[in-house]
Amino acid sequence: MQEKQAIKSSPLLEVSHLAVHFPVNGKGLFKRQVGSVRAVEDVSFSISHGETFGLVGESGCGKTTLGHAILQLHDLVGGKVLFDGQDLGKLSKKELRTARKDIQLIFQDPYSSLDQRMTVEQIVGEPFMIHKTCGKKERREKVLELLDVVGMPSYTLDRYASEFSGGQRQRIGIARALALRPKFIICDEPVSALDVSIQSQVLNLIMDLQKEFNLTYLFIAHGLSVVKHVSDNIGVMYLGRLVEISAKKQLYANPLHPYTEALLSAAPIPDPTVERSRIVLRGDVPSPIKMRTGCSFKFRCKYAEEMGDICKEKLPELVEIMEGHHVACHRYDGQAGNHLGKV
Amino acid sequence: MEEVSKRVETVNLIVRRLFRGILTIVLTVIIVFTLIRSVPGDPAVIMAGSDATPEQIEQIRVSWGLNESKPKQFWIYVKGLLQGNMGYSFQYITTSVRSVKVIDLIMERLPRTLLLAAMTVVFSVLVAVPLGVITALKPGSAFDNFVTTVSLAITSFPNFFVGMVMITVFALKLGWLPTGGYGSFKAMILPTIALSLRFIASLQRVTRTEVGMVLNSDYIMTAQSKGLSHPVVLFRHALRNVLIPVITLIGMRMGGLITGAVYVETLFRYNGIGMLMINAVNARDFPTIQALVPYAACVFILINIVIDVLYSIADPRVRVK
Amino acid sequence: MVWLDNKDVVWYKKKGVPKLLAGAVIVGLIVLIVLLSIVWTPYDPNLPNVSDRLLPPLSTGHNGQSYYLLGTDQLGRDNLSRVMAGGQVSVLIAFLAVLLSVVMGAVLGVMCGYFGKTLDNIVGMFVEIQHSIPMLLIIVMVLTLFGSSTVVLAVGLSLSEWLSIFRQTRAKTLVERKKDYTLAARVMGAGDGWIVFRHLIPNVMASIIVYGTLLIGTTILAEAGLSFLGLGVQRPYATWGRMISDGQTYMATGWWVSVFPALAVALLVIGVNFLGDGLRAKLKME
Repeated sequence: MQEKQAIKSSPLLEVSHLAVHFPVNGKGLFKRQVGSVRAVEDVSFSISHGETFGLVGESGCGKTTLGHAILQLHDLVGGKVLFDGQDLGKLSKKELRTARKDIQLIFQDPYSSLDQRMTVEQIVGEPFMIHKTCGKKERREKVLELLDVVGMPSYTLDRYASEFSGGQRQRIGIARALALRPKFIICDEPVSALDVSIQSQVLNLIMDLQKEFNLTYLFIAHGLSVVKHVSDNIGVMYLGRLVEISAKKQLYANPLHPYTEALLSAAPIPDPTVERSRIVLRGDVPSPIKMRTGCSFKFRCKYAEEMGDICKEKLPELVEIMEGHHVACHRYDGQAGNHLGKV
Repeated sequence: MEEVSKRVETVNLIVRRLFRGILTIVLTVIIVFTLIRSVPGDPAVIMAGSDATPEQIEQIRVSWGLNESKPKQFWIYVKGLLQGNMGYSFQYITTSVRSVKVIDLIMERLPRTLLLAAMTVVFSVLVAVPLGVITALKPGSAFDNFVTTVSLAITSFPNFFVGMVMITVFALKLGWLPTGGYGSFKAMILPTIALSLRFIASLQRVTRTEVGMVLNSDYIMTAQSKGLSHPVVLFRHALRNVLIPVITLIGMRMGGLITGAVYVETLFRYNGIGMLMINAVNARDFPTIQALVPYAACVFILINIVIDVLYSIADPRVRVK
Repeated sequence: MVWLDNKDVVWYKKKGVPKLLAGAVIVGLIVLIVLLSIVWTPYDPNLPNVSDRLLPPLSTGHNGQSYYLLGTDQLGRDNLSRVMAGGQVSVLIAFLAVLLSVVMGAVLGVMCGYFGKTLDNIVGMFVEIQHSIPMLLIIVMVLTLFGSSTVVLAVGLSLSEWLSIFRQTRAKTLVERKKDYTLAARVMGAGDGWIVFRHLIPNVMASIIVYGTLLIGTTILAEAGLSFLGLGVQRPYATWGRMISDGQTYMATGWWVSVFPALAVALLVIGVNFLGDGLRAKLKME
């Protein structure tokens, strides 16, 4: 843990009040927008240099969208992303292009993330080609270097992506992500699609690379088990919001949010209505966005009944209960009359 | 709020389609008008034909307003279309005592083509669907291969050639049927078959695929395991699923039917719209041409709308954009 | 497909690569023969020889020397030469028209599939409208008004056929666009142009080639049809469609006048279909 102390005092990535909404169009004659899907809502957190921040949540909670939003692949409805002090949203096209060299992405699906019609050399060499950093010969050498780093033999250079297995493809994808020596890599469920036997290999590779190249990671996963070994801090997302942030040890020792508890205990949560409850319809209310009242977890929370109306009416804010441990739940923020407080 | 009632959606659909249909017709009219007016030379002379008298040319000039501005001409044209007053056809000026009105010509011929088209659709479905079902029941069999090969062979030849062969064999050599013309039911047999051929080929193929998929779906196997007898399973479940693709195909092939009708009518001397068009074209009968194309387009679009509506009613899962 | 039993799978496999070869051979042969006819045919395809009218195939002329492999037509012209030469126009127009269709359809297809939104909506509207118009009528009109030159025919045919290429390309582009490798390129800093030319087009190319090839068959038939109606390239140039139409009167007495051109058309169409299907099988298997 000691080696991973922040090199600089200011965080590498600072996300504040990020919101991403997708429009939902009606079936009327003119297909007006009738509402929006709130994929990401009021998300704030920061990641220090050299840290691995784990982001956990079930499928559809918005974690992938969050990752893409940080990379400026989506329009932000609200909030901002500060990378190394720069507001990414305010950069010009050219500046953004340069900034992209520092932030990369490792994809979940090893099959669709590599262009089937390209050779390994072309795939891993593509970043160099896009930014015109070096000539053909030099590029080839750099690609060989990268392949070596990820454990792919040199003869794979001229093979087509389609000839490789899932685990090997992920290695190629990792090599590609490392090409321009980024500072920060978002790992979007990099091992979910792989066989269990391969998962640990690729995970270890990712962790080794962090030390070797001084990388900072945002590690997205859908279960707490994967994230346990790799993360320093962990954020738990539910329906587009961060409900708990904590250092790893703290989280496993003392989970505060009921959703985190459920994830840890792997208790099955009956949930027939996830999709529908995410879509907010405009209806006839004149205000632009009709907010859902109350906590988004109230339907599945085991404490909801004993907490009473407060959970139905008021949205809990993310509050720092202990040092480094944030949670958005009325059981701790002192809002409710009957304060159960597990502090 | 997401469950808009079926009726509202259907009305919605009809309105959208009508809107687009009107737009299409307007565009067609504009295209026809522009094309005819963009031929180099004096439009009155072109329209009147090479052996028209100066008085006839002048008459054309006046009645179509060819001295006036383009917008005015367009308005006269559109008015004529809407009122059904499209002047006199030139094909018949010299051959008959009184000139024939274009609109009369069209109204006379149109039902014949529609009849031919209807008979073709009915005949095709009656032949292709059973064929498709049989070949789906025994894929890979000799019969299946035979049907596939014959289909490929027949559709690779130009359709008018196949028609010619049919005339030679059945009418000339065997004398069973007349060589064409309009009048008797017997005369319509060969044209209907000729027009149906391509349709049968694709319909049979589609039916075969669909029925095959249904036959092997888990759904059917469950039904079979329940002890339902083979024919019952087949007819009740499978055919219902086939209905939608069949309607889709008919919709897609409507264009082909119109196109095919032009050839078939010309070949068999069947006096419908198709033959009228070709005759008009060969005789440089512009009044007929410039009336025929928009009207034919209208009919075509209307049929498409009807099919689209039927389609969306038949399959509630489909949301036609 | 689950529903093919073992016997069928074997049967299908047999038609994979052999189809491609067969198609290529057939098309290749026909094109070669047609090309040959530009410089040489057994006899002048346009020169009448009334004394040798309507001779059946494999017959000798009245001068005891001319040999008519495929017989002669109603004006005594050698059928073989006419079939060979007749292919010039048909093949040329078909290839030209398909080329135009593919260029128009593929470019617009990729652009609409990739950029979507306004462009897609506008083009989509025109496409829907054109789909609703019976193009044959328009083509017939255009040919009547502007004459039946090769160019007008090619352009007219391509205008009526580009829709299928457009639809296919657009659909394929939409599928590819959703795949992560386009996202990866963007994350690396690539612009739209790079993604379209370096990723989308190569991946869509296979589909374009297959459908373009199959389109040749449709176009040949369409051109033959127009010739049959008298709207194709005018006399004295031979074209398969008109040869078939001219032979209509003689079907009973001189079937060879129509049958051989029809056979030529059919063979080319079959060959092109085999080629297209074979290509489809081969390219998708990658």
